[in-house]
This record gives sequence, C-alpha cells and structure tokens, in this order.
Amino acid sequence: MSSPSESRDTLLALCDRLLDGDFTAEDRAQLESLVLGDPEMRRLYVEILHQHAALRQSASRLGSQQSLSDMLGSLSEPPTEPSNIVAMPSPPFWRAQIFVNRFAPIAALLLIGVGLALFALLTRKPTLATLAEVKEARWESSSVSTEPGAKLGVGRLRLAAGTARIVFRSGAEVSLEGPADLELLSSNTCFLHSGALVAHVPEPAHGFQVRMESARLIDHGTDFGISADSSGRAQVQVLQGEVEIQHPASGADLHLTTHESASLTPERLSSGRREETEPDRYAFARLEHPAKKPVLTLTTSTGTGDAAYVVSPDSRLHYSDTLLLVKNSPETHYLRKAFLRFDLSSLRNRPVADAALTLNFEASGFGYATLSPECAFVVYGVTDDSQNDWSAANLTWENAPAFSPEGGSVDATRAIKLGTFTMPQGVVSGAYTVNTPELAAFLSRDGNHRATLIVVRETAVAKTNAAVHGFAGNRHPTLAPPTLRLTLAEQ
Amino acid sequence: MPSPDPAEEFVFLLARHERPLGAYVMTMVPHAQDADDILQEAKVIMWRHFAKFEPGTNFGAWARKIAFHQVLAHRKRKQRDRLDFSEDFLRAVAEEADRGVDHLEHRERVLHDCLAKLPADHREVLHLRYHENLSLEDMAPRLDRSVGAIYRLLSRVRHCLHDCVTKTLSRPDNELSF
Repeated sequence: MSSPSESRDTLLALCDRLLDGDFTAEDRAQLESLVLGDPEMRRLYVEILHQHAALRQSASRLGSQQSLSDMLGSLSEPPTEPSNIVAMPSPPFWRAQIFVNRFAPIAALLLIGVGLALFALLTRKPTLATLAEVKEARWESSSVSTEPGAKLGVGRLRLAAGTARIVFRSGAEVSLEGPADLELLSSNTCFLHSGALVAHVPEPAHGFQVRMESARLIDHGTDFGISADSSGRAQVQVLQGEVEIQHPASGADLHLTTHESASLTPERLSSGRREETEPDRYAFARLEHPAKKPVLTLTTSTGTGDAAYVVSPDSRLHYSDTLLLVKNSPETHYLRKAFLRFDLSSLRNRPVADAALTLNFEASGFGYATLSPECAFVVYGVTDDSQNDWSAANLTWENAPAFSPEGGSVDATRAIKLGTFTMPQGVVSGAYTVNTPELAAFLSRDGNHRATLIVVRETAVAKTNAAVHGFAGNRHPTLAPPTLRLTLAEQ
Repeated sequence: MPSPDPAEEFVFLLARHERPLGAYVMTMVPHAQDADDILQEAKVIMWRHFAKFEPGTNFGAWARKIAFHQVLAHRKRKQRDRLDFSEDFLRAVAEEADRGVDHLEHRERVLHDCLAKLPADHREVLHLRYHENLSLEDMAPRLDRSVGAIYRLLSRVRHCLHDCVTKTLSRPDNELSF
C-alpha cells in the first residue's frame, strides 16, 4: 500500500496527463483503481476535473458572472477574430428540426446569454451590473451602454420608454420602467434620479441600496417598488419582505414590511399603511397641479391641418399614400422631407405652456432597417407666416415652405429648429415625441392660426440600401396622424 | 396561480443550472468537444421530458441524472477505446460529483478569487490554454518555452489553484490564502 501523500501525488500526475499529456491505457487502469479504492482520491479527482471545467467555462461559456478574461485583466489582448467566440453555441442542439419551433423562444433567450458571454470576453471595465433584458425600450443619451446584454459600469441609464431589467453583480435585480433615470454606483447600490423601478433582492444581495434625492432605501430581503421624482418626492411599496428607509432631513428611520408603503418628500417621511389598491404613482404630480390645466389635442387632419412630403427632383420615385417619407443622403441632402400643418384656431390665442409633437413611424418597405445607422431627426417650425398656405395636392420640392436651393435643406431665415429625436440603429417604427420649450414658444407666437412644421432626417446615410423612414400621415388606416398635445398656460 | 409557460420555466432553470451541469459532465468526460456534445444532447432530452419534471423539486439533480445517462449512452455509441473509463468508474465519479455539488460550487466561487491573485506568467499560461484553446504545442512558440516546460507550468498552476481554494475554504473567514 502506498502512503496517502504518495497516492495524492500519483493522482495529480495522472490528472495532468489526462488533461494535458499522453494518457495511456496503463494510466487509466491506475487512475481507476485509485479513485475506486479511496474516497479521498475520488474527491480529489472530482475537484481537479471540476476546476478544469470551471476554468474552461470561465473563458468561454454562457452566463458567466465573471469571465476568465476579466480576471486575467492586464494580459495580452484577447483574440480579436470573433470566430472563437461565435462558435460557442453548439449546432447539434439547434439542428434537431422538429424542435425548431418550440425552441424559438429558448433560442432567443440563449442568444441573450451568448451576448452576455461575448461582452464578458470583450469588456474589461469593472462591471457593476448587466443589462439583462429590455422590452420596447427607448433610451435618451445614457452614459453607459444600452445594448441588451451589456455589462454596465458606473454611469447613468436614461430610459425614455419601455422597461429594462438590470441584474447587479450582487444578484439584486431591478426592472426599470421608463421614463426613468437610474445611476449605477456600485455592484449593490444605485441612485434613482427619477422614474419607477421594481426590485427583487435575493439572499446574497441583502443590503442592496437605492438612493434617492431625499432618502436612501436599504433592503433587508425583499421585493419592492419605488417611484421617485427629481425633486425628492418618492413612494415606496414593499411587495414582500422588509426594507429600511433613512431620511436624513427629518432624521427618520423607518422599517417597512410586506404590503406596507411610505411616501417621502424632501421634508417628511410618512409611514406606510396597508394598501389594498395599486400604488398611485402620479399622485404627487396631481397634488402639484390641483387645478386641471386645459389640454388640447390637435392633429394634422383637424380643421385646416394638412400633411404631405416632398421628393427631391433628381431622386428615384418612391411613393407611399399612407406614410410621410423622410430620407437624407450625403450626396443630395434631404431627398424626402415631411410637412405638417396644424390648425391652431381652437387655441384662441392662449399661450401654450407645454407642447408635444408625436409621430407614429412604421416600416416604409423602402430599404433595409438593418442597414440604417442610428438616425437623428429634426423638427423645424416655419417662421414665415406667408408660407402657411400650402396644400398636400400642390406641394412640390421647390414651392415647399422654407425651401433652400442649397441641396434642398431648410432655409434658416424662414424656419427655426424646434427639437430633435433619435431612432436607434435598425429601428424604423414606433411613436416618437418632441417635447421642447421651443416648440411651445413657437406655437404661442403664431400669427395666423396655422403652424407649419418640417420634419427632416438630419442623419445622411450614404448606403443606398438603408431604410427610408416614414410616419403616418392623414390617410393611414390605423396609425394616428401627427399629433400635438398642448397644455395651455393659466389665464 | 396561473401556470408559467414551460419554455420560459425551462430556460430559467437551465440558465441557472447549465454551468454546473457542464462541469459535472466534464468530470466524467474531460474531452471538451465530447463533453459539449453530451451536454447538448442532455439538454434536448431534458426539454423533451420537461413535462415529467416536478416543479419545486431539485432541477439540478434531475438534470444530472439525465446527463449521466447521456454520458453512458455516448460511451456505448462511440468506438470502444482502451482509454475509455469503465462504467464502474463513471458511476463512482458521478455519485461523488452529485454528492459534492454544493461543495464544488463553493470551490468555483473561491477559484475566481484565487485566479485574480496568480502571478502574471501563470495567468498567461491559463489564458492561452483555456481562453485561446491552444494546444501545448501551439503555446510553445508563443511563450518561447518547450512543450515540457509548459506542461510542468500548467501542472504547477493547477495544483497551486487547487491548494489556494482548499486553504481558503478551510479558513473560518474564507480569507484568501496562497
């Protein structure tokens, strides 16, 4: 019989040969007899092989929390050719044709996993959280990546609409509901500047913190919801478990348990009571504006309104009778521009406090969305009131308001820029809104009860196969025409 | 309670258990490509029989049982080889890996900390071996060392990591130790 330490050395040497060297039939026989004959050796063998597997998985597999590459840090660059990485999902699983349909959602989810692994391999910044999933999300300028699967470092996430699920390295999960502004501070702490989130905090992440303008929430094992605004007001609902809320201004320190809630202002933290109804997230906003302000909704199809688009003379004919097309390419500039006229007579000269223009985009069928980069659009207001009398029937490239002969762009002496919006790469549909003080001011100073807006795509795309963007005009069968929602100033 | 969509449920469980399951297969089948194939086959079987899985019971244990059968099936299917482990051996290893599943997961967590503390040349050899998937022969010119020297280095790193994990786990506060 050999001594325990001899057996151990022999087993380790056999494992080395098994994993990296020339493992022989004799080696196999010896390894088997060691492992079958001694529980200690069996354990050691499994530990060594498991470590081998873990090292391999850290380097290349799905769902790794921390990749080998992250940990190897300052080493030589990882391979830049993507082939190693793309080859990860093994094909046989997907080749089984009978399963294709049933696996479609699984495939999609696994691909998200592949994305995660990819990011793990390619990013080196300290990662605090992962953007696990997004639904119908639109982002405003965020200081961190907003690609699904992105590894997130310190930074701000500004979600304009939709929801985004963020998994912190601690394990805490946050579903952010747009519009919202969340700042990531550490792997277990975030700052909710505004908006709503629902958090799920599993055991290892207890102590998860959400800071707000006027307070901080410390989790003691919960699911909870928070809705906060930038002026320091917030509501907290504990769905299950317990949270602690610290409110430095009042010195209050409150513990809430399942079904309890609290509301916060910069000055006060009021204790929660059992709420049977759903949280009223906009209660604050209503408190602030008790007297209902008059709101008007106008479309380009009401009154003397109209909507049309024009085509530059030298461009190939594309025609849509339901969508207003917008396109721009570097050679010829605004190849398609859209014109909107709103009838403002129902305003009766009252000033506009707030104005939002909403356009409903839909795939035009011209070009490929995939080939379109992120696109910026600009809304101009025509300042020359004498140009408000156009009609869709006779609008041409050259007689259109604020026409500039220089490449067909907008004449800056007869129109002003009122706002912009951006559509992400590859996106050609969805509702987009411009809500700026400039737009409200422009509509307030109108002289002849009519306002003409011009919508152009500022981003010029050289690729001829890129999509032509289009949004619903007055004749779209289902989508609403361009719509202005106006809040009138108090009289 | 509405019953959750089985596909969603399956993906959720699989996401949690796939890594440990892959490692489990590799303790019996160290060859990476074979282990991957077996894991994929096991996942197909798991999905096909997912209706038989009782929610709330141990998914990991259920998955390991299926994976073990796939290991045996794979062994039967392929050309017999003098290097193949015996069925007795596979059974003993599977039992050990099954019993030690929490312990192994613990070890893996600590392994990541130990990796971070490795000296640069040790990390480089791991990077080339596990990340770039190079053979020892291909690593030799990259590291300007002989195949024998790389073999010895890998062996040393492997034992060093194993010791680090064992020692760290044996300390009451799990403080990192080398």
